[in-house]
Amino acid sequence: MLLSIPEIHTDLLWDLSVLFGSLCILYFSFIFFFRNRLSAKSRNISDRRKELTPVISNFLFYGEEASKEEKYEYVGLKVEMREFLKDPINRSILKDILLDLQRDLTGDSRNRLLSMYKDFDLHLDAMAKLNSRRWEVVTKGIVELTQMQVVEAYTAIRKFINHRKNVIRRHAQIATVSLKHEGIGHFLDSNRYPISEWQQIKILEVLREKEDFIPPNFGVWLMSANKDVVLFALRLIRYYNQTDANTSVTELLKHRDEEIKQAAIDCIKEFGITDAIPTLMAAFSRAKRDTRILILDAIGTIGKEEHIPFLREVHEKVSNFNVRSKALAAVNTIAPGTILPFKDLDPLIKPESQTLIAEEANEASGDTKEIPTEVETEKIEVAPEADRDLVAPTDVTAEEDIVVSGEHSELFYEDLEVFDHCFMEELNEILEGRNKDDEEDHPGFLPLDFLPLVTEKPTEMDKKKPKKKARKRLWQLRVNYEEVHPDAEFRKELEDILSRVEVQNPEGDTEVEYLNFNFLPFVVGNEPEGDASELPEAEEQESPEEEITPAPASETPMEKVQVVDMIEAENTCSLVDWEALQNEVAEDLSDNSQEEVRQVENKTVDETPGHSIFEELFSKCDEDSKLILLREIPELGDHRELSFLDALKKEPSTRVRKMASDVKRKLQKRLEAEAGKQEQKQSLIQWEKSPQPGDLLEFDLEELKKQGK
Amino acid sequence: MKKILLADDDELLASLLNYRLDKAGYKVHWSCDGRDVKLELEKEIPDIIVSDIMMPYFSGLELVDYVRNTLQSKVPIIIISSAGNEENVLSAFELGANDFISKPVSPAELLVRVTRELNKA
Repeated sequence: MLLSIPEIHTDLLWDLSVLFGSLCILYFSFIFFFRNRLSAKSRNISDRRKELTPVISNFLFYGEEASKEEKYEYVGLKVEMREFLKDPINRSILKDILLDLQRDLTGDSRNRLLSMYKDFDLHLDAMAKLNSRRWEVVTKGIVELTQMQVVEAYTAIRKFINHRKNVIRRHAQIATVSLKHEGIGHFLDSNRYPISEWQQIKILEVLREKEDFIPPNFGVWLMSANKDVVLFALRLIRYYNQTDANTSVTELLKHRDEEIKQAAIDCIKEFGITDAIPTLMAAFSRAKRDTRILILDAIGTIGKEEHIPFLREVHEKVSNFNVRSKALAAVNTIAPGTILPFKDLDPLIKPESQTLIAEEANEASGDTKEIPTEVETEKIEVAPEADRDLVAPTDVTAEEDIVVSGEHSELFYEDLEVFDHCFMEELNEILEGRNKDDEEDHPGFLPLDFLPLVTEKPTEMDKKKPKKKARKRLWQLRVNYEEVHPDAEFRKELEDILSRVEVQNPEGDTEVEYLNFNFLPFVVGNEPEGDASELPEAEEQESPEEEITPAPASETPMEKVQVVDMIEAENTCSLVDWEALQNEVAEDLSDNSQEEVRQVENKTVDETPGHSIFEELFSKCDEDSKLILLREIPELGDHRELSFLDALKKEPSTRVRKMASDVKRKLQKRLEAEAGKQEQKQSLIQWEKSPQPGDLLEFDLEELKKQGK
Repeated sequence: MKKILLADDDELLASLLNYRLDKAGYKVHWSCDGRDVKLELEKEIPDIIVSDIMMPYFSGLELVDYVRNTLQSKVPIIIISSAGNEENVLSAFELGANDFISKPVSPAELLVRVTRELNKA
């Protein structure tokens, strides 16, 4: 099947072509026509401008001293111009030329230009624009009249000051102020709308450029109901230094509006109105933060020393950091150096210490070279003592006479080195002295009195006491504990280990010697070393911890439980007041029945051997593993394992039970053997502690007998 | 008759100043842009140059530099500048301008300055 071409009438195609061609021609003709028209118009205007420019120049530079011919020429030109200006286009061109020129000219030429504008009645066209219903035309009219300084338009323009259209209003305000001197007064009197900051600046600029302007008393407008008028009046008062409005300005401190208050404060500060200070202080309490800062700043600037207590009070009572800082700054502004820097200062930096170091260095080295006692210092200004007492803030713990030294850090480290050296020397002397001298004279402890006693101040948390109920509950707490050192036994063991020294005699045999460490203090954990009465008096006084530490090992089991409880409580709760707690415990004890005491006693006796480390392992392993562990006990275990092995009698597995009894027997044997050795060592230690001549002799004889055998 | 080269792209102001200076007895040649000024200077060095700083193609500063360094001429140059354009004025002085006058211009003041510079020269 063949596709047939649609039949289009050739005439139709021709018709369409003609139509679109005509439209194109019409379009381009339209563009061409208007373009030419606009060009012709601009050319025409340009030509007319060129024609007018020399005429304007002639008018502008026509002088009184002109010759007769020139005068005739001038009059003739004027007549020509009047005829020329009958054409509205010519009027428009001349107006544009004059408006352009007035921007570039100044002085006499400009004044002539403005008069020419009025002479040719061009201002009437502009005034006619004021009646237009279109806001942009009205605005153009106002601007033109303002630029050409047509004073006659003042009355017509001032009506627009409160125009609802913002643009008209703004230009009318400027025109009113610009055209007449009294314009500013009228504007401030009648303005009902806000005046923007930018508008205020522009009006101020207009006023500044006005020649022979005598500013009115702007204090009159401080009572205006319009907030912006008051603010603008304050600005003008400051600009024209109208100090006669001081009373009104001071009264504005009572204004409810913070902005007005702040502007008034600025004014007071600038004029230095000291009479306003009481009002400033009174307004402080009701002011917001920014206003407070401004008030303090103003007081700092214009205040005197009598106002410092107020500033100090502000610093103490107000919580806001900025306000507090400003108060301090104000104090220092009034009396410089009254308040000194006090935060994060190094208390070790003192001018006296430098002198001391210098002297010490002289003495130590014996050097005759003079060490300067006054190093170059950057001194923070220090106020007189009395002043500082007067105004120093309560929370300030400022170091007095703080001197920041450039060389201080070096001196400080030098000081530490000297201290270390002296300390080591003294320590060596003491130790040597103890080796040489008889030990009987000082059987107690190493005299460490020269060391500083460092204690930590109790914090607020430490001072808190637990509630009574809580304390009672503390007493009722079931405590699992482990005796780290079972009293004197532990000490013996430790001393044995420490004092045992193997020495070779001249024959080549090894001998065991025991050293005396009695002079060393015995301090273990939280518990005291033996009887507290053994401690020297000074130490008892200086260590408050010992007053609250539990009783010695010689106490009854019941007491022991108390002790453990209290240690546990001390470890778990640092808030306990130990004295109070001890009293509490004592009271509770007296209340408890004998039965309870017995129960606790029995329990304590059972628990005293302590906790076996194998017990925990045992609970988590299978039978074979238990047997392996049991095999290790005879070698590794101690008396704590005995009770654990006893407990294994209840074990379901017969193999474990058997093994347990076997292991217990072996362990007991080992412990007994070790106990025998301990006794022997104990006698030696006892002798070391308190050697008697007889004992020494007896001991020597026995040793000789043994050696003889 | 002293010859003044007036270089300003503001036709209206230039014609006004031209009229004033002409009336004062000077022969004024007005150039509306920098290129024209350059061509005019190549032809003939005037007795004094009054030039605006802001001009198309060839600024007032370039003109001063061209006259002082390229042409090696000591002809007096008065610069016209807008108010608040002190930086350019200082540059012009550094390059060798003799005087300056700021807009809005007082034709009478300009005349006085021109006369003074010509008398100095």
